[in-house]
This record gives sequence, C-alpha cells and structure tokens, in this order.
Amino acid sequence: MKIKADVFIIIGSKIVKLLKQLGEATLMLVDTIWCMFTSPPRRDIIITQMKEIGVMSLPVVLLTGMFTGMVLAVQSYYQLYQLSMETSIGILVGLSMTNELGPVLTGLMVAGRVGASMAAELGTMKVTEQIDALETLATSPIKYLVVPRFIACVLLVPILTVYSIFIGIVGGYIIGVKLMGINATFFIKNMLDYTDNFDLANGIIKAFFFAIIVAITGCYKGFSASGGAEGVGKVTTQAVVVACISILISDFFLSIILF
Amino acid sequence: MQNKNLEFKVGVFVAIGLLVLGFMILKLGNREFKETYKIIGLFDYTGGVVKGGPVRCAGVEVGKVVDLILVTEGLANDEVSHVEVVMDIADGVILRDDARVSIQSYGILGEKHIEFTPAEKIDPAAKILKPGDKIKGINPVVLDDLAKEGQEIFKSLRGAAKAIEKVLSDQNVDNISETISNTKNLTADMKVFINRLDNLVANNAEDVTTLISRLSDGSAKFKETLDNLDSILVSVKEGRGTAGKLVVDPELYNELTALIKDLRKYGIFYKGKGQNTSRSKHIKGYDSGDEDKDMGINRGFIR
Amino acid sequence: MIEIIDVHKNFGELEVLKGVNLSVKRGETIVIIGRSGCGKSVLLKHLIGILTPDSGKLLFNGVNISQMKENELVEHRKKFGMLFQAAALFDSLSVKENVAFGLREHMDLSEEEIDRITSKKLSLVGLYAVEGKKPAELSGGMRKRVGLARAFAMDPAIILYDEPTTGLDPITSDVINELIVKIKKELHVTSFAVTHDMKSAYKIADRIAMLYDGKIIESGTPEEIQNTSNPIVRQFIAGNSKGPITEKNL
Ligand SMILES: Nc1ncnc2c1ncn2[C@@H]1O[C@H](COP(=O)(O)OP(=O)(O)OP(=O)(O)O)[C@@H](O)[C@H]1O
Ligand SMILES: [Mg+2]
Repeated sequence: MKIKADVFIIIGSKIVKLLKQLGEATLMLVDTIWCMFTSPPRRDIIITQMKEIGVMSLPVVLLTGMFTGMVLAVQSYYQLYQLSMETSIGILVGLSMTNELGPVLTGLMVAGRVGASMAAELGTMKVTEQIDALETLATSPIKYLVVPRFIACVLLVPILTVYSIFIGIVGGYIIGVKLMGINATFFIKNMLDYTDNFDLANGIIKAFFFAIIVAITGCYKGFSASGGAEGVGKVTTQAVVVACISILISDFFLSIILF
Repeated sequence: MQNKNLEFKVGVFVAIGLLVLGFMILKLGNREFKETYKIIGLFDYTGGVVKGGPVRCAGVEVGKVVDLILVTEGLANDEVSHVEVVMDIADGVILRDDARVSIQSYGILGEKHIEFTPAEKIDPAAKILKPGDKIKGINPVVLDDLAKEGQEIFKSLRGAAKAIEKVLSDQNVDNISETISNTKNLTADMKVFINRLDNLVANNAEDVTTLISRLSDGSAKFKETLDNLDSILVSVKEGRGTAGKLVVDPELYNELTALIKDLRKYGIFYKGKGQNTSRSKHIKGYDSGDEDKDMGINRGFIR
Repeated sequence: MIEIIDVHKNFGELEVLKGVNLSVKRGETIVIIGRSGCGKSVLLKHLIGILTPDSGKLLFNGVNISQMKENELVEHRKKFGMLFQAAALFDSLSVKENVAFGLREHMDLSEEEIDRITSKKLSLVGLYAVEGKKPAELSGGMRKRVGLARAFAMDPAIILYDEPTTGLDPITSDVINELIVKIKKELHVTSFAVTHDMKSAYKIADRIAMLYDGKIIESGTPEEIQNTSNPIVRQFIAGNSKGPITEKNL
C-alpha cells in the first residue's frame, strides 16, 4: 500500500514538473513576443544570431536534405519499378520533401545544432552569473538574449527549410533521372502535377512552428541551468531531446490541422 | 569591417533562399490560363470529376473544371435531373458543338478529366461554342447497365438468326419483313453497345476483364446460334463487315460481319445514318472490307 | 538611502538569511564581513533585485525593491553598478564591449565617445591596451578589474562590490582600495562592499557590519569593530581558527 502511494507521488510530481515547465516556457514565449514588438533589440545582435543560426546551419541542412531526397528516390525506385510506376518518384520526393521531410529534418538539425548551442551558451552564462550581470546592467535577458535568437530562428528556419526542400528534390532528381534512368520530363511533370504551393506553404508553416520550438526550448533550458559544467551539459542534452520530441509531436498535430 | 562581412553573408543566405523560394512558387504554382471563357457540359453521370480538374482537348490541357452544379429543375422533390459541369476554357481554343465531350481518366491515380474529342473532319456547319454555351456530354457507362444491354443484344441476335434460318430454308418471303425488323433492332442496339463499350474501355480499362467474363456467358449462347447460322450461310461466307470485330471475340466478329454483309448483299439491310459522326466514319471504314484498317477500332482497348 | 528590514531568504531547505537588518546612508561606504558561505553575495543580489526576499523588505529611498514593476526595476538598476565576485564578464564580447555594454544599451553615444569612456575606465583600474581581448584571454585579477571598470562605466550613484580585492596581488589590491576611496570622495557614491580582506575593509569602510548565521550581529566604524567585545567578531577579524565560530560548528 505504501509502495503504491509512492509510485503515484513520483508520477504526480513528474507531471506537475512537466506542466510547470510547459507553463514557464509558454510564459517565456509570450514575454519574448511582447518584447520583440515593444523593444526590438539592436540590429547587429540579430545579425550575429542570424549568421549563427542560418548561415552556419546551411551545410548540415543541405547535406541531410540532399541525402534524404536521394534515399527517398532509391528506396521508392525498387518498390515503384515493380508496379511500372517509377516515373512517380518525382511525386513521392516532391510531396514528402515539401510536406514532411524538409521542415522536420531542418527542424531536427537546427534543434541539434542551434538548440544545443543556445542551451549551452545561455546555460554557461547562467552558471557564471553573466545573466545576473546582464540584469544588473538593467538589460532584460529576454530582450538581449532570447529575442535575437527567436527572431533569427523564426526568420531563417523557414528559409533553411526552403533550401532543404529544394536540395532534396534535386537529390531525388539526380538519383531518379541520372542514376535510375527515369525520363526527366516525366519526373518533373509528375512532381509538378502533384506538388503545389499548398504543399510548399505547409512545409514553411511547419518550419515556422519548429523554429519557435527550437528557440524557446533552447533558451528556456539554458536559463534553467544550475551548478557548473555538469549542469550546463545536462540542460544542453535536455534542450535537444525536448526540442526533437516536441517537433515530432507538433508535426503530427500540424499535419492534421493543415490538411 | 567584420560586421559588414557578417551582414553580407546573412544577406546572401537570405537572398538565395528567397530566390529558391520564388522559383519553387512559380514552378509549383497552378499554371492558370489567363483569359478564359466558360462552357457548360451536361452529364447525367460524372463519375468523380472534381472542381479544379483538368479539361483537355484532343489530349492537350486547355482549361479546368470550375464548378459542378446538380440541376434539379423540372423535377419534383428536388430530384437531381443532371449535372452541369462548368469549365473554364483558355481563350483561343475553338471548340465546335460536334465534338465528343466525355469523361476520361488519366494519370497514375486515375483522376477523371473532361475530354473534348473534335470531329474527325472539320464540319463548317458545326457551330463554334461561345462563352456560356451548353454541350451534351457522353455519359460514362455504368458497368451493370452494359452487361444487361449485352445480354439483350444476344437475345435479339438469336431471334434474328432464327428468322434468317426460316427465310433461307423455307424461302418464306412472308417472313423476311420480320427478319428485317429484327436485324435492324439488332444493329441499332449493337451500335449503342459499341459506343458504350468504347467509352467504358476508355474509362475503366481494368474493368473490361470483368465485362468480358460476363460477356462470355452470352457469347457461349451466341456461338450456338452462330453454329446454326454457319450451316445455313455457307454460300455467303466471303465478305467482312461491321460490328462483330468490336466485340472482343474474333470469331464472333467474323461471323457477325459475314452475316451483315450477306444481308446487305441481298438488299435487306441498309446502313442507317450514324448518330455520331466520328464513330460512324470508323464503321464505314470496316464496311469497305479493308482488313488492315480494322485494327484501328481496337483503339479503345489498346489505350 | 537603503534600508534592509528583517530579510529572510531560503534556498530550498537551506536558510541563508534569517532576518537581516541594516541601513546605509547616502555617500557612506559600508563593508560586510563574514565567513565564506554565510550569504554576503546573496545579500548583495537582493539589493539590485536579482533575488527577492522570502519575507522582509528592502527599501531604496523608501520604495520596496521587490515590489517594483519591470520598468521601475530597470530604472533602479541603472543607478547601480555591480562588481561580481567572479567578475561575470560576457565572454562572447571583447573587453571593450563589456565595459561599454551599459553605455550602448542605455545611452545614445557616438563611437568615439564610447571609446573614450571605456579606455578612461580601464586606465582607472590599471588596464591598458586590453580593449580588443576576450575575457578568456585575461588573468583572474585582470578580469576582476575589467568587471570593476564595467561597474564604473555608467557613473552609478551606488556601487556594489563583491570582494573587489580577492585574487589581486597586494599592490594592485591597494590601488583598488585607493580607487574606491577616491571615487567615493570625488563622486559621493554610496558603496556597499563585501570582503574577507580586513586590511581592505579598514581602509575603505565608513562602517563595517558582520554577517553571521543569517543576521547582522555587529556593526560600527572600523575602530569600533577593532575594539569590539563580541567574541565572534573578534575571532573573525583576528583570523583565529579557534573561537566561538568554529566551536559552534563542531
Ligand atoms: N542560487 C542559489 N541556489 C541555491 N543556493 C544558493 C544560491 N546562491 C547561494 N546559495 C547558497 O547560499 C549560501 C550563501 O552563498 P553566498 O554566495 O551568499 O556566500 P558568500 O557569503 O558570498 O560566500 P563567499 O565569501 O565564499 O563568496 C551558500 O551556502 C550557497 O550554497
Ligand atoms: Mg560571495
């Protein structure tokens, strides 16, 4: 009887903790958006973050996008070939890159790269009292640290997604047409027939939400760091895991809402 | 200086991203026809045509379906009498009212679209469709109806065969009139059947197998009849004729064409005016006895 | 000017402040002494609103700091300069940008103006030609001095020093002590310093207060403290390992 009660207490406390964190993160998001419009940060700070988040993430996003498109083409080729439908690889690559893989992969890559570095950087600042120092200099950490990262993410993750979608389709094209010998015209025509701007818009809207998730989890986890290097490491891992899971879960719901 | 370099990189990143985005938006955008006019197709059955679906003329995309209206006029209880398919056709595409308007499927997913098949020879008398004109469409065939019709045809064929038997064996001139009317019915029915078959094949290629299996019942019976005919019509077995070829069984075709040819030779049967220009032209082709050309009628099957 | 009334602060189970009472007058330099871990840094952070008390009040010119609204708190903080114990320099920014941080955020100054002020503040703490360096490239003592320059940069009315001289060699320590005294005299700033360094405390303090077991147990001029009869304070200023403080813990 005693043991059972303990189990409930553990479960209960986990849920309460989770809800508390969710609430705090949401408050932080509201604060961030409020701050973004009431006192926008300096341009050079945003530009620095844009370079970190956008430009520096480009290689990894291009690489994963390209290979995903190629893998899609290779995998589907053998299946579709048996149905004599190999020209529809274009459709498969086009639809999955725009609706799903482009935004999700970009989101995951950015969560791994940018989310982690945000959590680590802000976490270090937290444990070395730099966040406190910021406050003593009458500067809001939200305004100075979170808003620029948030703006850079929200503006650039959709653009990264566009890159990813494009390079993914190019990768599919290279494999399908150059390697598997599908007729190029059919590949492109089929893709264009079945993929339209709604699919592209879908992907970009998703990317927008993923950007919010990555920025807020990274910053929130960073701020919640305590202890020393160990604490920073812990929040960094948490930030990546939480961001990835949130991206996949929200992707499911966004897919339901958007279609 | 370093700051400028930073801004330059970010600027290039964003600019290229937006260019790629613009390129994709243009490419993926629904290629709209700029100037269009509206034509309304009338169908009893649309077989799953959707708004936004393509309209093609001789296989080339010339417009799209913009609306489907269930027409309830003139009927009690808001029953649906037919469907008006409103289409936007690109300006500069001239369609005449003698074109065949049918519902076809294309693409890997078998999407339905409206197909205009222009008459084979331009008929200056045929009216050019103006914006807002209505044109009667050819209804896609519902499979069950077709099977029923097929059986009726076989029934009347058998009646005809019996009549011919009487004529030829008894030399009973009085019965010839009966034969004529039977045969006339038969050919008329046959023609409709062929039309429908053609449509059906175009729309439901895969369903044809089902149809054939249904037909085989009938054709077994028909074979019997033909065996009878065979013995009677030894003398008139050279020519080649019409409709039979259209039914899949080549033997059936051979026998039927022979029969009609013979009938014509005796002057009992004159070919009626075709309701459908394009189809009747094909049939004329077969009547000429040109065997090579005959394969053309299989168009529907091959496609 | 600053009144600390019965402030309590707990971190979870740990009671750090158990009813601190202290008041500081304008232009006064008060030095808080106390053992490591007794809550001196925590007390400083309360004054600038980074930490809020669990109970009790902190009044600044009669206004309760912990009840200030966001924008009031910003204005409040602009009047303060704070030196952190471990300097807490922004390690992504250069030394110059660290010192100029408040100027850039809150004042509309030209680049030349900023250059002028930062190099002046850095030379005050005895640093030259380090503007372009990153904090990681500096020694601990240099970092502390950059932190000091950053605290001075906005010419604040109140300066909070968290151990200004620890980690510095005796000569630099004395330079810093002189500096604190000089700034106080010239600019009439109010100073609130935390230190273990008794030599420094005697030199800069108008008043010394000892924080012990979450409370201020004694406060007075340096002479009064030196001649106190309180055995706890006596053990602390004499730096004996034997005495009432260590006995109690054993
Ligand atoms: N953010 C915090 N969370 C939990 N405990 C804290 C926190 N800050 C301080 N403490 C605890 O409060 C106590 C007082 O810490 P504080 O930093 O004020 O000590 P201090 O008097 O400044 O010591 P030192 O002279 O070594 O700097 C310590 O036991 C410390 O563990
Ligand atoms: Mg301390």
